[in-house]
Amino acid sequence: MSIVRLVDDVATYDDVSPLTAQQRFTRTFLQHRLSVISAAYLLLLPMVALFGEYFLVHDPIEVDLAHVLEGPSAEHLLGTDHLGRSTLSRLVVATGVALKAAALAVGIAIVLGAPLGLLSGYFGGWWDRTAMRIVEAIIALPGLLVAIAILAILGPSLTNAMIALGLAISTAFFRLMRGAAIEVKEELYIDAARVSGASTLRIVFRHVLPNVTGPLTVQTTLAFSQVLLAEAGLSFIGLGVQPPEASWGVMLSVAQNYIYQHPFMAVPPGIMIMLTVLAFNLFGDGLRDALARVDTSPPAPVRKTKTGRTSSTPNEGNRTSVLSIENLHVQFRQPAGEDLEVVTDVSFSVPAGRTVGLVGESGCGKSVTAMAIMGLLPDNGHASDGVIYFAGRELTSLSETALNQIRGEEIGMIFQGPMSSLNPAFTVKNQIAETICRHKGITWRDAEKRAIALLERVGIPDANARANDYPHQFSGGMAQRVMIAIALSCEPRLLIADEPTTALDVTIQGQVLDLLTSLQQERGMSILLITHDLGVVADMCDEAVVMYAGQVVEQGPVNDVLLEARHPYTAGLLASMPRNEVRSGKLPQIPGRVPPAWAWPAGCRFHPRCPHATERCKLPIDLQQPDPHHQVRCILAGKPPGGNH
Amino acid sequence: MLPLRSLLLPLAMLLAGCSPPHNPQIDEHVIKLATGTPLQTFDPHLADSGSSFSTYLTLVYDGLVEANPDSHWRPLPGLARTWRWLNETTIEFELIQGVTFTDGAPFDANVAKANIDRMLKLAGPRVNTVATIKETEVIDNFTFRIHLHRTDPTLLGNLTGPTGMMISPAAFEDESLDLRPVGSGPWRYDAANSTLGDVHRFVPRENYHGDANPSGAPLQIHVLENARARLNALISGQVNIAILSAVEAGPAKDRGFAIQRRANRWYGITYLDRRGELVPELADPRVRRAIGFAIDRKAITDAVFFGYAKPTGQPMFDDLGQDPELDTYYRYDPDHARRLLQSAGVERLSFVVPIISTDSPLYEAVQHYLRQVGIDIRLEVVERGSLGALARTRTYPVNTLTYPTFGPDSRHPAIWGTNAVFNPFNVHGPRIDALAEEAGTSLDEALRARNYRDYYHIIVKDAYSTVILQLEDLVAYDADVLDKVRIGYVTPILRHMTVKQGVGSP
Amino acid sequence: MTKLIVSRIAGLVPMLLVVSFLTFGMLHMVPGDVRDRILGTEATAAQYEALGEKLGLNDPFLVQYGRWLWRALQGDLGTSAYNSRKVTDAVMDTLPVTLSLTIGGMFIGIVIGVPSGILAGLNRGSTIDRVAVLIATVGQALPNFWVAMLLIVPLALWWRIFPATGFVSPLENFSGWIMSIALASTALGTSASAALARQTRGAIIDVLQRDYIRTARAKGLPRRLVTFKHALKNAAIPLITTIGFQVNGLLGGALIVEQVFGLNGFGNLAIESVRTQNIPMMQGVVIMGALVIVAVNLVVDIMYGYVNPKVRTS
Repeated sequence: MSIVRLVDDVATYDDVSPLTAQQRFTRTFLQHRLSVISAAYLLLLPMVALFGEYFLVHDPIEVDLAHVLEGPSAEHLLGTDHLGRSTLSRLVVATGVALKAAALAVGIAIVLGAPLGLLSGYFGGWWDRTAMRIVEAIIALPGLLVAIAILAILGPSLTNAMIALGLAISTAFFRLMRGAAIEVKEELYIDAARVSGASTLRIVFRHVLPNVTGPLTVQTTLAFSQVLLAEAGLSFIGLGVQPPEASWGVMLSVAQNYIYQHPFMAVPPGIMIMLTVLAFNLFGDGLRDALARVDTSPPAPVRKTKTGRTSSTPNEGNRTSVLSIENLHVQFRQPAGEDLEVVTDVSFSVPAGRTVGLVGESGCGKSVTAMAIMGLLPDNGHASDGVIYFAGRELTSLSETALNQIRGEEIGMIFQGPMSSLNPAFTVKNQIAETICRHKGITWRDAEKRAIALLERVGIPDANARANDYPHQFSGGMAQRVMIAIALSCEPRLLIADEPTTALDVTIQGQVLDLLTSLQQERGMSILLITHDLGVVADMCDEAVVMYAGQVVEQGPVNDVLLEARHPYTAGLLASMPRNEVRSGKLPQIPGRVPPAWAWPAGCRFHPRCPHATERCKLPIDLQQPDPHHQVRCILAGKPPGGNH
Repeated sequence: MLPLRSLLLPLAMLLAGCSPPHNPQIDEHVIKLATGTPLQTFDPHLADSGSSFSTYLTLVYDGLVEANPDSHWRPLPGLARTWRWLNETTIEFELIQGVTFTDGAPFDANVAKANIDRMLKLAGPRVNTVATIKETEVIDNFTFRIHLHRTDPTLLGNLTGPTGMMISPAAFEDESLDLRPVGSGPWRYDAANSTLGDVHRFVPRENYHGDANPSGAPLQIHVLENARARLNALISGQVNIAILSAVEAGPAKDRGFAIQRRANRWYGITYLDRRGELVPELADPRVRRAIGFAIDRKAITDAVFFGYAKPTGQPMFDDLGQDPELDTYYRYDPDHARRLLQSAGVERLSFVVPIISTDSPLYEAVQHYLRQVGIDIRLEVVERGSLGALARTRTYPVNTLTYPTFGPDSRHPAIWGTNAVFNPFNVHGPRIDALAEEAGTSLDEALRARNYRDYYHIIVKDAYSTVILQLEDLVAYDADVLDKVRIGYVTPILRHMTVKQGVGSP
Repeated sequence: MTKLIVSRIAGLVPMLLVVSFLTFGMLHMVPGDVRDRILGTEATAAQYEALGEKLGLNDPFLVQYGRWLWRALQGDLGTSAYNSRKVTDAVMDTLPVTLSLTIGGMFIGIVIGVPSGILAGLNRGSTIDRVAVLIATVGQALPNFWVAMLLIVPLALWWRIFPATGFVSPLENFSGWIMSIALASTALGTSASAALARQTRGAIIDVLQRDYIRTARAKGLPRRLVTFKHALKNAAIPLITTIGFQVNGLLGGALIVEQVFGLNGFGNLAIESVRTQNIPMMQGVVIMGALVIVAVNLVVDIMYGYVNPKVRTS
């Protein structure tokens, strides 16, 4: 799970506001100020090319041999060229030529590349293989040389140069369309039976087009900037646009001849090329970002200062607890600048040597809570209030350096995806040893020995040899064992296991959990187990904390919570358990899904989905304590809801 | 894993290995020429007579006769000491003795005959210029005759080109002759230290028989296609003489380099459609003359060519057919041009002019002047070298051929004669046909001069072509180092150039 | 690893065949006749025929291609249409110039682009980042040859710090070589460094979001170690591919930039061959150009394998 996806877990940027895809696209694009300026510039260019001539003081073909190669003046703002013509006027004319040329080449590239790519991807087989071979061959040829070779055949001229360039860059469109066609075709194979009778080619076409419109637009924009540069280059060496017709490249080429007499002549056309290519690139960048819907300018990082109430009440916490969280609030800064609370007033503790399960669906704030403990919240997230005590230290106010002493040494952590959590570029031995070396201050060689011993302990067969393997050489279960070895390498007092078995096979899950249990018994550490799987909680945990929409809704000894669930949400989770569909977000007993953080309702956050909801539920509800060790956030806490057991 | 070094080593060798290291000579004593002309071939019998010939081949080969920079038709002695016409169709050459080729073979009449025979047999690009040769004959070791089909006053002049060059007979069949010359010239080509298309090095021959390299200077020819690069090379001291175009001449002069110039090529519009099949108006000489009067040649010369051209209305310079009167015949007079057009009943006229891209500034300026008198020409860019082929398609009413300002004889069969290559409409010109025929078959210089004077008066005044100017070939050189620099018909004459004594000696 | 290299090379063979066939076929279609150029306009039919025989123009296309391929496999790419100059020699004379510029441009691109990309990526959203991205975006939009022109005027013509033209072999005079390619390499390097900076920044940003970076931090490793050990090595993997792509662009750029400096390189050979319709030469140029690109890609693949254990160990 990446940090971005971690944010997903509570409320993604995507869902931050209720906008349609198109609105979101427009908004993201408009946020790129430079892209907007570029778009305006690009819209202006054809206007200049079409109508610019009417506004010119000097006819672009008005030769004045008495005033050749003059610098900028009031009469000629950009000076004159070798025949005394106004450079400004020439530039305007050249704009049309350059745009026409670029449009021609890009047009050829699309017309040639796109349909062929579509067909190639659609038909597959030897036709596709042959086409791909040719495309690869063209890509292997230096693009400009290909263009030059084609010009050898066709003879140098604007049109021919553009045909050459169009051919050379058509491969990009070919590959784009081919990829899209293959993707759609594979999806359609599943449904092929259902669509029998209809022409699949037409269907592919219909499905491909909306998929590729975005990438195609971006590719086209980039192709324009490529072609403009290439056209300038070809014209510059005399193989493109031929004088007396003028493109920017030709103007540069001519300017080069007079570089001794009049160096300034080379400046205006060069700047025009640069600006236009720049505009196309910026426009393309903005377009791509807007399409990707991921903001590239992240919200400003938040200084980790708290403005809270509880900091005034120093409380060492429960002495028997290794970890104690009190009134924790976590906020994320949104791109627009406001803070969004994703964890609200969470308190629980992990007793020494015990296992606490943190339970809930995706988006309930479990992982954010774990990250807050580790001090690993993303840059735009921070614990805005509350305290986290670990072994007598308050973690939220510790410096990064101080946290680094605790992380890995006193608190170990394992994650859901063992594969992506291990660094693919280093051997597993290296990744274990560096942790030990870092915290225990022993030699690298000794650290390596310990790493191998650890691997043996977590059950890696032939550990000595496999220690030198890279993560990708391990299976998922084995990789998670490696992760456990890393997390336990410094014998931490607390292990935070965030969905440690979710990504694994069912048979492997049991083995990994057994391993954790035996290690816990051996070392007497505490475990904070984050899971959506109540079965795992039942097997492993002493206590359970159920979270919903950023709040703790029920907590207590595992038997109390599981056997006498008082919160309708817990009950719903339990009811869904056998089919293990909590993850999928569809609880058979509970309609709806966890709402994103910006849409959390007032009062009981569960009430829109709750079968027992009343008007009272729309008002804030505190944790109730029906039993000494059992806490529930529900007005019905007094009696078990549903009564279905 | 391959060590990185083993990957880099071949790369380094590739980068470095191919350009041969040259032994540092005392650079100041070397003639170093920058030219845009790459070497085509060192085999003179397969060579054309262009600048590749005059740049490279004249260094390593001697001709039977040597080109005379002062008069194209009066060659200087070369391997032939003297010559005389025995009759209208026989010419006898007395050869010099003691000449050896670089492979040690001696030169004599048999070798001369074998060379001329080889040249005729190989039928290279220039063979048509000596097509009047019937046979060759050895009289004795150093006497040699050429028999002709008919009298040919141009033969001797033409033999100064590649056709008259002498190769060692041992190399006749050598496949690599085109890159490894075996001649008797003042320099020997140092192939081992040369890179084709980049730097060509020539070593002076110790016991050369003549005085073509009085300073005994080695010679380098640097090929730099771009004229500005040649100027840069000159300024940075990489070379000491450079062939430039008009644009670069000013900056070279500003930096203290000496300039030699010579009006070698005329530029102009040649009317192919003089019968008016495509553009009826062009059949009227008044219209064609009006074009001549409408162009401000001086302004174009100054602005486009920075003064390095000769504004003139005639094609010939410093040769038969040249007449000072014709230089100024077409003075700039747009009003007169308009009157001419008016009298021809032409109000507006428009036609297509094919040009090659590099001539664009000149014809853009011409376009401007013609527009002032109501003639609208549309410039259409055609590929370099295709003007001739296009002329034959009869697509264009005019052509923008460029021809040398010397050699009046060869212009007639090429451009204006009834059956000329570039007269696709075969416009009949009985008077010029007769003048050229008579001049081309006579050894009488006075008659030839008279005929060609009349001939070119017709070409100019009846506006068969509208000459705009004669562009100058020019070289810039370091006058502190080089002396006796002359520019020939195309390129500087490297023979007889001297390096100043005492310069740069330690 | 050896297996990887062997299989990559084996995979190149069909590709090079296709390339050569495409090139040969394409250039075979050149209209007009090189014989016009060689013989001039006034040649006889017999001269035409004889020259055609000599150049092998009279055979069917496939025969010509087969003959060419067979010779090419023996290292003989044919002979210039105009003289007995071997195409291989011509290529070998000019390739060092263009390769020098390409390598020089690559060097500048890497030396400037990669560190600034890392700096920007690590400080995402900061002023450094914004400035770096802006400069890189502008840099990518600059035509190489224009930069070359702008460099040449003050540095070579006014102050004469660098030569305006001429190439010096690195074996002959190493510092002279550096000076002779410095300006052209800088001109080429601007766009390369801009592209590399952007790519590096992207790679760094991407890698920093990876789970294993979080793991590294959860292990209590200091930020320095997280960045320089865990992030950089992984960011280098996509970067190597990018560098491979850049070489193709740089080679193309070098063809034009060498014109500005009047260098007798590959571009000059190509353009001259086009102008004179010297088809054998043009063929050799395109094939050798492709060979260079393919060789670069091979080196990139090998380096990719070197830094990427997934490729190396499978």
